[in-house]
Amino acid sequence: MFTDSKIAYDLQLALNSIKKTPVLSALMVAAVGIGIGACMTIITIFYLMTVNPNPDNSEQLFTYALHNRLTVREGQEDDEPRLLSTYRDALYILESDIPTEQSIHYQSWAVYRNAAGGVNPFWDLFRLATPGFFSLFDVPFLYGEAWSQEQEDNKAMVMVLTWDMNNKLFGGENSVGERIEVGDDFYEIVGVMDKFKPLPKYFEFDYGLFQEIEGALVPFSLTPTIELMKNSGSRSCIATPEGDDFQSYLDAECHWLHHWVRLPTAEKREAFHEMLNNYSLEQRRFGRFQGPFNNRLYNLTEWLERLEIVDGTMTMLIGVALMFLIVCLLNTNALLFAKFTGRSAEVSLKRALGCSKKRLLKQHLIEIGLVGLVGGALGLLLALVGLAGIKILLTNFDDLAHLNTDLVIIAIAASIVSTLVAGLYPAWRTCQIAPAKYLKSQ
Amino acid sequence: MLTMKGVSKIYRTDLIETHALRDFSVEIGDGDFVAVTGPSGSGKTTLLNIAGLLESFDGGVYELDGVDMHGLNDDDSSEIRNEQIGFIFQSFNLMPDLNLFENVDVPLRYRGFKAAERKRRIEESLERVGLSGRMKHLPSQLSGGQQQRVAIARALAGSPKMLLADEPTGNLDSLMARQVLDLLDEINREGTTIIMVTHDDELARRAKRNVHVLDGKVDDPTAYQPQQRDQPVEVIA
Repeated sequence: MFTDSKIAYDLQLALNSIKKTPVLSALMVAAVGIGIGACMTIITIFYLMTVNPNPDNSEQLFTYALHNRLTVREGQEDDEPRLLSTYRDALYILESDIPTEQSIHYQSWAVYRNAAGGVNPFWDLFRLATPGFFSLFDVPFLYGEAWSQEQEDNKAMVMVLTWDMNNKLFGGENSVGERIEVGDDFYEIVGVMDKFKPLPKYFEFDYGLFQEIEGALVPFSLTPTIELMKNSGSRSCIATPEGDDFQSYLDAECHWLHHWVRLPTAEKREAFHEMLNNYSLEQRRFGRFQGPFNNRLYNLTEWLERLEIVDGTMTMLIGVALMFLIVCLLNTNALLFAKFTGRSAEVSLKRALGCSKKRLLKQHLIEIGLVGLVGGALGLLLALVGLAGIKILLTNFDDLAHLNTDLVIIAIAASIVSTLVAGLYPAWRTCQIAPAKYLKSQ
Repeated sequence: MLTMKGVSKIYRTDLIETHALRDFSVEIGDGDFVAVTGPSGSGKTTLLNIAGLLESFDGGVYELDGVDMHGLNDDDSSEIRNEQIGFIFQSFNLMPDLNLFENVDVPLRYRGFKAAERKRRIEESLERVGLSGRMKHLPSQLSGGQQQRVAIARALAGSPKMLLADEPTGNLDSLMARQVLDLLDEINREGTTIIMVTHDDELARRAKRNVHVLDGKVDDPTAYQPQQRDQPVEVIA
């Protein structure tokens, strides 16, 4: 290579050096690759579990927890309030005009039938939600739109399909205006969502934070009409419903609804929190809300922390993966020592010919960085294998076990930086060789 | 060109101190050709290393072109080595995986010359040593004498003021040694100062001056005085 570029020359020297010791170089790349691969497999899962799914709105979206107990037993004096709302509390708070948007929602399931035929009936999930759901959580639409507040108030039999469900029932065609049967009722499709897979699925936690959204959404106001209970997750009742009918269940002290609000300003947050407290105090006079007075308002960031998505096992796995990476880097460090020791005579000669220690260190770091880069690429391949293995072994990890651009960049950067850290001392030591030391012995 | 006054160098280990140079003084003028002789362990190579800034010294004064060489930082000493001093070693010290062109290019890279300037210098210096037709050869494809000529080309490519040669013919047979000496003679005649360490009295006689080193000191202080080019060679021993 005959250019003026120092970097190009140093890269060429690094490549020559790597070619000159292929076994040592391969061992180093393998050590870095295995360490990065193991780490990235775990970190990918961790990253996708903990990444904020709606960062633009995380300071504006809130959910609340009211401390509703009819009696307080010993040991319950300062426990945490319930994360889900009762039907009556949610309906009352829904009337508040403090939030700019809000939505109550829950999941149920029923048999889907395409009125036009073509697909066999099948059981699947759907969600009952007030229309604020779509704007609150930035749901994208492929066809049509959400149902209106008027349709919600009028208990209109309308439905929004997810992208997947529209594919399943209508082969991806525009199905707005079509009718399908869910449960015992026919619904007109008013909108089809585009792909929408927030991870974690922060607006509900009953069915699984990493599950896909249900196949369809219908107006929440239909709840008393269609009489479909919540399908899964928490629906704990702190008192037995007075009757066996569905309305008794709705009126009972059963906690089962998710309620999210948008509070764009600090004033609105304060006002909403105060409204919750006032409501709580008022209800206390009727014998409800006997627990500690600690009603909570969580923004999205706080909510994700409250859910404790990353448990101790995951933390331990990350620790083990990082320890493994350190062991691999220590091996790389030893291999670099061996490699650089073998080039003492060359270093001595370069120093004699006028290469400064700084320039020499730079040359060595470029070579180490190159090993880190190739090791990182190998690590990514191994991480893909690891993630494929996790998909096979564990359920519910399909959406978590994939690498995105951010993770690829993180892997390569981590590989280069960690290899540079591992190689800095051997490189520095090599550059301290006195110029005269090995000139006689060559 | 080069002045040393009372230079000392001590190698220390946990158990022993070795005085490689003691109160060593010498003055070498521009265009001089000095042969440094003396028995093994007398301090010849240490002298050459200090003169070439390959090693530091512990005491005394060393000036190169009137500039004090004591306490230079690594960047400065590297720059002086690169720009003002050329080295020729007994074992040639070529990089085996680089061809002749690339070997001569190494010090020029550190000098920061543009590609065209480097190319011109490399071609000229290889032409000078008679190896312009073998620029793409690897050192292993050359004889010992040819390899030493490449080393000389590498030393010359940067147009140094001073060439330091440590037993430059030590690994060569007599014919090749003579060719290398002829080349050094020619380079000296063109004005480059040469300091050559040698055990070989016959080679020493080809230098303009001899400095005989014994136990880290100049054996005969009269040898400090520069001599005229046409004076007969004098071996001080």
